[in-house]
Amino acid sequence: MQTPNTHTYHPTPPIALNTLFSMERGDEGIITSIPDVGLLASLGVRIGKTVKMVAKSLAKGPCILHINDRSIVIDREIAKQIIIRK
Amino acid sequence: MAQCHENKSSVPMAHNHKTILLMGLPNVGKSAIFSRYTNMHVTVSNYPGTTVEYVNGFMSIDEIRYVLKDAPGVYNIKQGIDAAEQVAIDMLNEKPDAVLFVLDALNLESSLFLLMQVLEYKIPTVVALNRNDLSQSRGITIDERIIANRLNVDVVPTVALEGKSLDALKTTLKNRLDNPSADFLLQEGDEARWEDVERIVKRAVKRPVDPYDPNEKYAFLIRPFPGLLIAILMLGLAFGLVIGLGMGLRQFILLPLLREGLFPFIEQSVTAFITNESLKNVLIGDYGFLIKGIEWPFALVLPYVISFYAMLSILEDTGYLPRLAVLLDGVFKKIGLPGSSIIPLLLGYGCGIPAIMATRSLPSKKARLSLAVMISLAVPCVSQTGAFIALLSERSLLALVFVFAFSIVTLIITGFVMDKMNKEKAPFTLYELPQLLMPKPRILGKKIAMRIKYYIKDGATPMIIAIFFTAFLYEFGVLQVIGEGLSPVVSGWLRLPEEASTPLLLGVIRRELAVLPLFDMTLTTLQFITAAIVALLYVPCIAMIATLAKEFNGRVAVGVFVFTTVTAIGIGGLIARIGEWFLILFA
Repeated sequence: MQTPNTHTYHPTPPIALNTLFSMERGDEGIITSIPDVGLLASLGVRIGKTVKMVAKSLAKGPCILHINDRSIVIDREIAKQIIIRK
Repeated sequence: MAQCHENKSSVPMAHNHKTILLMGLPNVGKSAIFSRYTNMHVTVSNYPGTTVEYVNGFMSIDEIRYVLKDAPGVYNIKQGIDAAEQVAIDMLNEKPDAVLFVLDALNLESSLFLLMQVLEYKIPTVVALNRNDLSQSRGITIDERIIANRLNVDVVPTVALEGKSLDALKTTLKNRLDNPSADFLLQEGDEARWEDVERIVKRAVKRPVDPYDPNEKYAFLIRPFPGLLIAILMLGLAFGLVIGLGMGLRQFILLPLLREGLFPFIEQSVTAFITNESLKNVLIGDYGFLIKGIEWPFALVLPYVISFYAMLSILEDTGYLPRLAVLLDGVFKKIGLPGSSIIPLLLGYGCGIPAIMATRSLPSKKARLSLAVMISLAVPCVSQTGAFIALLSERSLLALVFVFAFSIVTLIITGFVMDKMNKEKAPFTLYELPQLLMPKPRILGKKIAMRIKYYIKDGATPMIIAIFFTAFLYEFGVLQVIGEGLSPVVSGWLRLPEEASTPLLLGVIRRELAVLPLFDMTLTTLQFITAAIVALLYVPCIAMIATLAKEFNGRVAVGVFVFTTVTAIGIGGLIARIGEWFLILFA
């Protein structure tokens, strides 16, 4: 059995690609999983919702999402735990 | 009962009146409804968390009086994680006779979910579908009858800021109070409820394919570029307008009015009727309370109170401040604070007391304490800013700029030091941006008027009383004796004349009084700078120390008192020395 060449071998892309945080400005996606943060549901961040990335802040700043006509400011640490599909 | 005792600020819990509890999400207009119904002015702003503690008031429907309670806005009352939620839960448990629930037309899903949680308490409930105008301007229509039928509650569409349909809401409320019933149609469990919410919204709401969305249109305000650039320009412009407008009011209106109109008249009258020299000095001498007691609070400070609160109120009502918080979030995280800390900080440039109260809306204890110390030490209130400008602008503009730059640098350093002392990380940022709104002049005017009234009552009045006592102490030589006693610190360490101990003593009482007595002293520019920096860092004021004791505890209050005094004197002496070296080097 041949071991894969480390120079050309690419593992499956990290999950990071499918998180909310990985979305670029203007991207849209549908939420498939959210972490257990109580306020998220009340702010409209629920499974099955379509979200649009409106802005990403500098440094360790938050992302701003659009969900159901609302603008939600969400910490990037939480955004990294929200899974979406395009 | 024929008589009712009225109390302006808070209404005693009268058990013979029925109570109505006002509830809803944050920033939906509960306070606007409250103001309309009770004629009491509570602060209304376009960002969540304006109401940090609940207020009671009386309202009348058809000559019958009810107690109306304004609860802080919450998203959820199941978790009880923050103070506001706990307050709301406690208020529901007190079993009011009715709940007036404010539903947000712009935010129907979350509103309905919270409504369902409130309906669980089985209290007769009337629902106001508020901000109906905003959803209509987006082309969205909501059929309130569907909501009413599905939940079996009364729903009245309203526009509270304009007072629209508030009479109809009152009538509905009255009917419900007379025929109390609470047979609501509710699903059990959060999952089932969210599904129910979505079904109701789907049926009740008609929306165009591509609704007009102001949040999307103005999204550039929250992108690093050009958002940060706009923020800097906006704040610079606001600062310039506050200073310019204030100076103009003072120079061209208030000072001439006093110095050419009122003061000569007062001096003539006093000289004509009072022969006792001491009494005359108390009234119109160096600390003459009829002169300084009017000039300081009304000609030197009031103009900046007006210009500052005009500017701040505009920024508040547009909804720009939470956007500024987004832009600065990453920066504030570096000192373990959330971006929303910018709101109490800006309020602090007006008055430290509401600023410290506003820290209640911050989600961590550490953030509250850090901000309280930062504001106490390095943020001059509007009274002190007015005093700085009056003192320095004509003597040395550079010195004025230096004092403000010094305040900002100290603010940042204090933030870092407080962060080092408590490494707790900033809490997660998670909140909703309010829609940008055009401020309504009528509401804006009311708010500014309310804040000026607050200044006259809680700012100018103690200032006048303090000046009155100072005039006595000065006339009878007490201040001079204290001056000699403090001479090692004032003259020895700070290199100021002995008489500069007076502002240090008065500064404990009020922040601007640490500056204003310097006026008539002959000092070098370096001495003016030293004295100004000491005044800036010095004990904020007695009222603020009391607020710290109330909001935190006695230890924090005493700690801030000692810390600010030591820092002010310590740094003041260093500035006096370093300044002298500079003068030797460059002169």
